[in-house]
Amino acid sequence: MWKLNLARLTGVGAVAAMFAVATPAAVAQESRSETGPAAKAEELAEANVLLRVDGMSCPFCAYGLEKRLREIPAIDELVIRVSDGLVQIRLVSGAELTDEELNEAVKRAGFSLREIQRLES
Amino acid sequence: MRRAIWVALALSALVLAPDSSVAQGLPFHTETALTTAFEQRGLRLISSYRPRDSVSAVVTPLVILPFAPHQRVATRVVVPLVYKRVTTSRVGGGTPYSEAGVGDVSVAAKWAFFVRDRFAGTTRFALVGGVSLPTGRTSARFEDGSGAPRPLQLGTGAVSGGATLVGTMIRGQWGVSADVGHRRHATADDFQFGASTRYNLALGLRLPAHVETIRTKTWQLYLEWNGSIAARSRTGGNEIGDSGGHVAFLSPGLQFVPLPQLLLEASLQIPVLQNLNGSQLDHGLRPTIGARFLFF
Repeated sequence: MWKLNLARLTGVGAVAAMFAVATPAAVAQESRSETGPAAKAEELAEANVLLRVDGMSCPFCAYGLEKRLREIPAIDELVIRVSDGLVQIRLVSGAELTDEELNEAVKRAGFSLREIQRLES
Repeated sequence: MRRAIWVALALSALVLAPDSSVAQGLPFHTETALTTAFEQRGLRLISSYRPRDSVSAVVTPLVILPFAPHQRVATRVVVPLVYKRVTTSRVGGGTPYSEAGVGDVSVAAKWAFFVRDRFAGTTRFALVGGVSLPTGRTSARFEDGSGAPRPLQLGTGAVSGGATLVGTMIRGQWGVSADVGHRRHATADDFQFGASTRYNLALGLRLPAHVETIRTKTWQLYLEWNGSIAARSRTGGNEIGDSGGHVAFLSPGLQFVPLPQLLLEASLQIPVLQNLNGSQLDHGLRPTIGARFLFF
């Protein structure tokens, strides 16, 4: 049941995968779910865009940013790392996403976009 | 058109301010300069038990509907459901009675006029204003037919409003918010509640210190100081001696965020200063529980 819930919650698998890469806690997480998080870990390695966002302080405040970014069709998956002030984005294959679109989404969520990094996947 | 209505509502409400009990900040009773995301809607359900002395009790569940028509403006409609009970004949000289129903509905808006974000933190200042409408009944009577005093009615019977200045600073897991606001009441049926000035300070600590993602479960500990200074009420052109004064509460609180769009909260307001004019009922411990939801 635990695995099933993880798989169904949008983005949770990706979050668990980040734990797996970055922290010991993720190892435990991955051991509880052998398929979803592991698969997501590979997908996260394919992040195309990295945003540095100022002003994020808690999950409840940052929820609006996730909702705004998920409304953009070019975004396939994303993970918001609150304390690091980072947003990892994986684009839909072949899709393009302009800086203006990203800046507008962050601004409307009530935060300040400091930097956009385009990553080689 | 719909957005224009919300903007007009927000701007018209900026002139006046709501009650501190409906603060829409991350603290409980203190405002915050943070605003919700553009066009984001939310819901806050909060229930507060507010006893005064051993002879009366007030329970006030609040339904708060915040909405953001702009990334720096947040509006809210507050529909208080009020239950008031008087258990002895000491109050007003009558016999026991109880009343339940909708209190005074209020509309308010918050404008964040200063925003300076930084890594894992922010400094913001906002102006909050609103009006409270006399939608609550004022016809409660004791069993002997005599009218209950105005403070014991479900509504105030008059329009009221004011403005509040609020500042919020967050650095990592620590946050502090402070506000000061003034509220005035119109006269209705020859009675006018005294103008009040409230001041609040909230210190918050988020746990854990490092929040991995927005789905990391977090706790927030708060300690607030909630103060209010009210002038004497007036009736027939004369001041009422047994009204107004200075009240302050020390309010520890705990919030839990199990999901990024859900926040559960509980706090306890402990009266630490009650410099009331004349002879008035003392405030007791005021427990508050609530939940907040974010949705679009």
